[in-house]
Amino acid sequence: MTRTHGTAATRTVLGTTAVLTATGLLALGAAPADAADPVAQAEAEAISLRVGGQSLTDQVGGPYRVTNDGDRETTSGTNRPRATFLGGQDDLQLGTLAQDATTTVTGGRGSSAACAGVAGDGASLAAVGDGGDFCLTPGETAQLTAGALDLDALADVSLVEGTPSLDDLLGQLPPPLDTLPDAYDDLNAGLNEALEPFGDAGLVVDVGAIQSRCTAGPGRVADGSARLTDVGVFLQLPEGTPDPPGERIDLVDFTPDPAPNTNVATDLDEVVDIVVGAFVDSLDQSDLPPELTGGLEEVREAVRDNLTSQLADRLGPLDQNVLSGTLNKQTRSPGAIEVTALDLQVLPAIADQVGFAAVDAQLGRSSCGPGGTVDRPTPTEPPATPPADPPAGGQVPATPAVPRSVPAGLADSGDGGLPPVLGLAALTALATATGVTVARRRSRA
Amino acid sequence: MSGSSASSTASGLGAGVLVMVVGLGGWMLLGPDDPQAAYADLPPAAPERLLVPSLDIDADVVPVALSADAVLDPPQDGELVGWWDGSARPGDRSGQTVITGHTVHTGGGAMDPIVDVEAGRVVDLRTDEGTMRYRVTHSEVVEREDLASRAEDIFGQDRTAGRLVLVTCTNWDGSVYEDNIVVYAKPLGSPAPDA
Repeated sequence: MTRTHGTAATRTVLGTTAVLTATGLLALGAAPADAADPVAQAEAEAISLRVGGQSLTDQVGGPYRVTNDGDRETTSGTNRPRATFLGGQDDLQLGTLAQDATTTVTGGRGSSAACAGVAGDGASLAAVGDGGDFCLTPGETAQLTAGALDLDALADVSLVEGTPSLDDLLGQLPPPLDTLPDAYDDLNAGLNEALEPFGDAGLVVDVGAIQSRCTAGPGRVADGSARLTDVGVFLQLPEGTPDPPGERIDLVDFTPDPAPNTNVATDLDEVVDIVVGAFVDSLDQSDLPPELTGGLEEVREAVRDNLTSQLADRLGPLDQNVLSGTLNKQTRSPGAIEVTALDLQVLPAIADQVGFAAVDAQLGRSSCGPGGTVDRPTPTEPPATPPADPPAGGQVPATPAVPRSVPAGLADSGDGGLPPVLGLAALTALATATGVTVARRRSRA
Repeated sequence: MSGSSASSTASGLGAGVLVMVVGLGGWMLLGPDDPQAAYADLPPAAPERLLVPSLDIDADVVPVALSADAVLDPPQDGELVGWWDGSARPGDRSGQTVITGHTVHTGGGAMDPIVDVEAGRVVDLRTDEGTMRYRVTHSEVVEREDLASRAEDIFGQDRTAGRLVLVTCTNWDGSVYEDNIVVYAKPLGSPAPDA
């Protein structure tokens, strides 16, 4: 749900979008190939962002990958990713990035752990340990507001010196995205009208930390989880608002521990319904100053009318799949797991036509396993220490005799559906797609 | 009402109550399912359907294999359950039959109700040779690490009693299932004689 207020609100949404884009500037690249089968491996990537099919992040750092062949550990990439970017965007501070991975080999059997994520300024970093704990302790909450980003300026920014500007990249977007500026204008006009009574209130997105972690090793199920700390969206009323001044109205509080594979896929109508519903609920439950509550019904109707009729009509064929995303995305294979705290694709439907989504973003991706056993056919000495994990007595048989793990639990049946708290994220993502397109158009003008 | 008729009425009520108590006791001891009705010797055959009448579990069974790293994954379709194809078939003279299925936090998993299973309830495994009926003896919650360390005891095929083992996940912590729940049942029919 999104409530906005006039131009400022819309710009805030754009700012939020841009934050995602900006966040992407931090970067990660493709993982190198392994020379031999490792007995342990892990990979971590704080952020990855692709716009219009082109990576905005792979030249800034890349994922941090660790492999272990039983004799030595090999790393690629960096576990100290750059935490600043976007030259010329003084108001935009990404804060802290973290990506770390480690492997251990005990008794000839490999284990791995990884963690990755993004956080506001002042977050504490911890190296990943065998326990695979989260590696970010949030400090200050990164606060993203309308004034935090100038999209026109963003279009001219080069993410890395010597690379194409964002505008150059966006200029290569395919024709289906050309319909978005008009939709954006409708959205903008509708929100402006709907939120006029709120004066200069602004939509604010807080980000404490978004991160994931995982572990994998012998004798246990590969395990992973994601955590969203202090991630929420609120409407900040202007300082001059009486009793109390500058009131904050919380709109969305993301659940800190989302269930695995919490789905964000939906069509436009569903997004609009949820956004409008959450918006109105928030208004109803808020202690708004008396002078603002009088027009509440008008606000409600204006939002509903503008969003549902104009926006839905304008987007036409794109409305079947505005956004596809997953919180705590988990992918399993034997002995391995990959966890992505937030995985988003904006306008994934265009991939059928052009081969990629408008925006493809991953925040906090950790990958652990699969592992193996060191192949030493003629050991001269028994291991100095016995295996840390069962089975008692020793060696893992080449062909397992019995199950040692039964991962027979699922968070959901995969039916999908958009959790209400994700409504704002969905609209924000839509605004991202439209906003960057508008930025391109403005930049060209 | 006369004293005689009152006494007769009281006697009639007493007898009726006694019958009810005995009947109810028998129903409680034996359960709503009649275990005598359906068990028999069976030629060994792969299980095709799992039924736990007391929990309304009725699921098709498909074979599932053990991965190279000893992970037994249930069928992806949460409405199905998997028979570990390295375990005994109903009717085999040795080993034990291992069935696994998903518990789904939001519902819809074949094994969702298994956490409520009670000792004494019956479980049926249908094969193309007939139905093997089992009675639940006990269940236990096992931490994942313990499952690995006790794997031979729980799933080992060196048993001769034809035990049935049902395994799924339990103890949702808000993001993942922390433990496994393992249900053990003994066959009420006899394993098939050696060929």
